Amino acid sequence: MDHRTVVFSAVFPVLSLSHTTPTPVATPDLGVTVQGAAFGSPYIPRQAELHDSSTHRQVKRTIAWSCATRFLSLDKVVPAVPRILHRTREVEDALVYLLAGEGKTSEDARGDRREGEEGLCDWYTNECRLHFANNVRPELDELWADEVKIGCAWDALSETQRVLEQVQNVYLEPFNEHILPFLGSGATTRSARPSRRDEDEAERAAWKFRRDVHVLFAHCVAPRRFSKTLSYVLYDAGCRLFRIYTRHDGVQPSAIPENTTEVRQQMTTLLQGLERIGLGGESAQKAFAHAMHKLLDSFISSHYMKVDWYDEKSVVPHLKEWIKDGFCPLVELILECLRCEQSSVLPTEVTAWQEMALGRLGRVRVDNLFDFVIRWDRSKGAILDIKEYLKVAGAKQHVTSSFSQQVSRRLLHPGATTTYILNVYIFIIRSFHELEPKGVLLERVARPIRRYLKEREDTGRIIISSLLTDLSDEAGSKFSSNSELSYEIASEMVKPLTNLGQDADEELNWNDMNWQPMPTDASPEYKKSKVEDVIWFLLTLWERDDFINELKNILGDHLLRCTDPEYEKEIRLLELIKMRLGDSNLQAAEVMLRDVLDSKRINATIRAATDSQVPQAFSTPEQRPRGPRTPNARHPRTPQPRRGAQLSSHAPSTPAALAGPTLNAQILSSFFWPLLRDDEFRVPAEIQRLQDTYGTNFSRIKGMRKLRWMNALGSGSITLSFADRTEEFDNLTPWQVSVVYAFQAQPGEEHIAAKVGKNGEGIARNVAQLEEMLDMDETLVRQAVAFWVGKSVLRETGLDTYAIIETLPKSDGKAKADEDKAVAAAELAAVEAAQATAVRSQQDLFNEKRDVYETFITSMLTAQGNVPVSRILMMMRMMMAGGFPFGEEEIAGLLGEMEGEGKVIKVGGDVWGMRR
Amino acid sequence: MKVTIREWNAVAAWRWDMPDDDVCGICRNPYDSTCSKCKFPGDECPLLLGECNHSFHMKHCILSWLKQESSLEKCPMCRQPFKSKGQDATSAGAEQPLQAPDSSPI
Repeated sequence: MDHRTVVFSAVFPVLSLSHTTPTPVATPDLGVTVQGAAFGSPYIPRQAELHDSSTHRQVKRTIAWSCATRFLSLDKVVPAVPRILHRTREVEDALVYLLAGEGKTSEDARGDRREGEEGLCDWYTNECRLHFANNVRPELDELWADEVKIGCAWDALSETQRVLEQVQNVYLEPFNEHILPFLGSGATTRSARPSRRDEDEAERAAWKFRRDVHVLFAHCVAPRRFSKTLSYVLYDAGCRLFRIYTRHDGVQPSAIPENTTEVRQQMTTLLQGLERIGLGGESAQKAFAHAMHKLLDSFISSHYMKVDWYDEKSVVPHLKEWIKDGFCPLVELILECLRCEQSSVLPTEVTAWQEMALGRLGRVRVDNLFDFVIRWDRSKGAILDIKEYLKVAGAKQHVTSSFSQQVSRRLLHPGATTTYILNVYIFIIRSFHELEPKGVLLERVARPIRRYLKEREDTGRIIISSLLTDLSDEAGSKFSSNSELSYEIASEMVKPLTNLGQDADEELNWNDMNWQPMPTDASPEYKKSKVEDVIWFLLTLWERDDFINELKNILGDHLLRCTDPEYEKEIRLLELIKMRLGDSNLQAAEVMLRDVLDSKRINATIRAATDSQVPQAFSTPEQRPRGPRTPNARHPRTPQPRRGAQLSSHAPSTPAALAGPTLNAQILSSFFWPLLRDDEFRVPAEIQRLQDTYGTNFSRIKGMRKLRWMNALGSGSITLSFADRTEEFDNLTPWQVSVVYAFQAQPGEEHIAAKVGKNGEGIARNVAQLEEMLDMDETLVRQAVAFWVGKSVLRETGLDTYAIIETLPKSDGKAKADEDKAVAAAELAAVEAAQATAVRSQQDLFNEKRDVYETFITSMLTAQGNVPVSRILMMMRMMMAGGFPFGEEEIAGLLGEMEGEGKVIKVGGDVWGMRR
Repeated sequence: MKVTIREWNAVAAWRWDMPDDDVCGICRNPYDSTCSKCKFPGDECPLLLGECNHSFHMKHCILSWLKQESSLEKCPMCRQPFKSKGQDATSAGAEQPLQAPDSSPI
C-alpha cells in the first residue's frame, strides 16, 4: 500500500482495504484474559460464559463478530438455489449480540460511530459487493463488453436477468433469514411489543441493502448499452405484436406470423424480471419511451398507414383507433411490468398521443406532397390525411414551407415545360382546394409558381390556345407529352360555367347568409374564391392589360385558322373572360370575333350580287368551262368544316359558280387586329380577278369602304392534273398555290409543255424566275418549292431549278431517290410552316425596322461618343417615331451584329462606341 | 400540268376610302376605329363626309355636334356650314336600316 492509496482510502473507503475477512475457523480460541486474571491462566472463561461476565465489550464483540462473519460469508461459487444455513446457538447468540444487543454499532448522540467498529449489515453488504465483483461480474462483463448484436438482444437481456436474479437470491437469503429477524428483535428484550421504531429500522435496513445490491447490478451492465438493448427489445416486441414489417432495424420479419400471445408472454416475463433485479428503474423507462417513439414511427411507415389509393379515404381514423386500442394497452402493460408510479393511461394522454401520431403521419405525407399533387384525384386519400394533419398546431406552416421547397426544386426550373408547370399548377389548385377550401394555403403556395409563370414568355399563348382547343376531337394526338396544349386547361374549359358575378361587393352583401369572416391567417391580398375556378386563377396571372394584349394576338391568329363556322368556343371564351375580368378593354377581341362572323354574311351577300351579274358583266375567258376538269374532281369533296362551306354547297346551282373557284373572304377591321403578315405577291390571275370583283361589290354595298387583300393569309384547295395522275390538295397557303400555279404553261410556252422530258418532267423554272413572275420574297418561294418537292410534285433538276414531275418514275431506283428527297423536303417545309404564323412576331417587327434603328444608333454614337446600352435604349424610347417597343436585349443583339460588320466597337462593359 | 383552284379563302382588310388625314376631328380616333362610344367599327360607326371634305364619325361625333345650338351647323374644322356630301351621306344613311339585320351577328 503506497501512501497515495492510504490517503485516498481515508476519505473514500475502499472496500478491499477496509473489509475484514472472517477470522479463520482454525484459529485457536485462546480466550480472553479477564481483568484482574493472570494472562494465560487456565481459568479463562469459555465463550458461553462471556455474556454473563463483565468482560470487556470490545473483546466480546470481536468474538461475536468473528463467529457471525464466518457464518455469513459467501461461497465462491454461486449456487443455483440459495443454500439454507442452519444457525447454531452460538451463531445466533453472536448475531443477536451484534445486531440487537450490546455489540450493536449504535450511533450515539454525537452521531458518529464508535471508532473502528463496523455494523454487521454494512459488512454483509460489502461482502456481497466483493463477492459480486470477484465472482459474478466477469461473467456479465463478457456479455456486455461489446456492442450487443440485434439478434442476441433478447438472449443477452434474459441471461443477464437470470444471472442477476440468481445472485440476488443468494445474497438476499442470508440477509433475510439471519439478519433481518434480529434487527427487529432487539426490542423484545426491552418491551413486549416491538416498537414502531425498531420495525422501521428493520425495514430501512432491508430497503438499504436491496438498494445497494441494485446499484451494484446497475453498475455492472453498461448503462447506455443496456438501455439501448432494452429499447430494441421493446421495439422488437412491439413490431412483432403489431405485425409491422417495415422496421427501422432492417430485420426481415419471418414469413410465419408471430404468435402474439407468446411474444407478449416473453416480454412480460423479461420486464418483470428486470424490475425485480432493479433494472426497471428510470433508465428502463427511458428506453421504453425511446422504443415507443420508434414503434410509432414504424407503425406510421408500415403498411397499415399506406396511402389509400383505392377507396381514396383518409387513414387517420385507423391511426387514432390504433393509438387508442392498440398502442395504449401495450403501454399500459409495459408500465405495469416496470411498476411505474402511474400504470394507467389518462384519456388526455391518449388524445395527446393521437395528435402526436397524426403530426408524424402528416409530416411523412407532406414530404411527398408534390407527388401526391401531380397524381391528384387518385391521391385523394393522402390529401385527406394532410387535411387532418392541418388541424395540428404549426402544420400549416410546415405544409407551406415544405411544399414550396418541393415546388422550387422539382417544378420551377428551366427543364420543365410551361405546359407541364401549368398542368401541375392546375393540380395544385384542385388538390389544395380539397385540402383547404378557404384557399389561404393555396394562395401562399401558388405565389412563387405564379411569379415564375409570369416570367415565361409562352404562358399566355399556351393558356389561351389550350382554352380554345376542342377537347373532344382527336384528343389523343393533340395532347401528347411534348405538345404545347394543356389537356387540363382544355378540360377545365368544358366544365359548365359556375355562378359568378357575386364576387362584387361581397363584404357588403347583407343578405348573404353564408357570409364568413376572412380566415385569420389570410394575407392582405387574399381574395376569397368561392368556386374552385381554375380558369380564374389562370386568367388572373397577369395584369389585365398584358393579358388582353396577348389574347388579342392569339385570338387573331386562331380566328384566321379556325375551322368552326359558328365560332362557338371563341364566343364562349370571350364571354368567360368578360365575366372574370370585366368587359372593358375587350373591344378588340369583340370586334375580331364580330368580323369573322360578319364575313360569312358579307360573303353570301356578295355572292348573290356577283351571281346575278356574272352572265352579263363577267364572262371572261376564265369563266368558260374548263377543259380537263372532271365533275368528280369537285363533287366527292368531303364536306369541309370551313367557313363558307355551306355557301359553296348551294353555289353550284348557278352555272357561273360551277365554272370558277369559290372565293370566301374574311373581311377584317384591321385597326383592331394584331399586326398581320402582309407579304405581297401575285396570286393566280383568276383569283386576282375574283378578288377585284369582290372588292368592287364590297365597295358598292358598304359605301366609301375599300378592301386591301392580304395575300399571305388565307388558304386554298386545288386539284393538280398531271399527265398520268390527278391529285387534290386542301388547306394550302396562298403562296404554295401561287408557286405551283406559276409552273403552268404561260401563253407562248405551250410547245414546251407539250413535250414531256425524258424523266417525265414538265416545265422547269428556277427560283429567280419564280421570284420575278410572282413578285414574291425568295424565302417564301423556297418554302413553297420545298413543300411541293415534299409532295412529289416538283423535282430539283439543277441548282435552284425545279421541274414538274408530269409522270411518276417507274424504275425503283429513281422513285426511291425521289422519295428520299421528298421526305427531306417535307421535313424542311414542315419546320418552315410551323414558323409561319399569321400574326407577326416582335422579332419580325424588329427586323423590319432594323435599318432605321441601325442608322439611329450610328448617328447617336457618332454625335455623343461612347454610350452605354441603357442610355441608347432610353434615347430610342424617347426619340423614335412610333415608339420603341423593345428592350436592352434587342439593342445589345443589334449592336453585336453591327460589331460583326465592323461598324461599332465594344468599349467595355455595356458601353459601345463607333469604330474609328 | 394543270392547276385547278377549287376554293380560295382570302383575307382582306377594309378601310374607309378617305383622304389621308387619318383621325376624326372630333373624337381624335382613327377613322378605321370607332368613335369613343361605339363598340364596332364600320357599319355601326359610319363616317359622314362633308362638302368641305372634312369627315367625322357620324353618330356620336358630327351629328351630336350639329345638334348643339352653338355649333350653328358649321363644320368644326373649317367653320363653313356643314353639309354632307349628298350621295355618300344618304347612301350611308339609307343603307343603315338595310344593313342592320346583317350586322348583329351575336
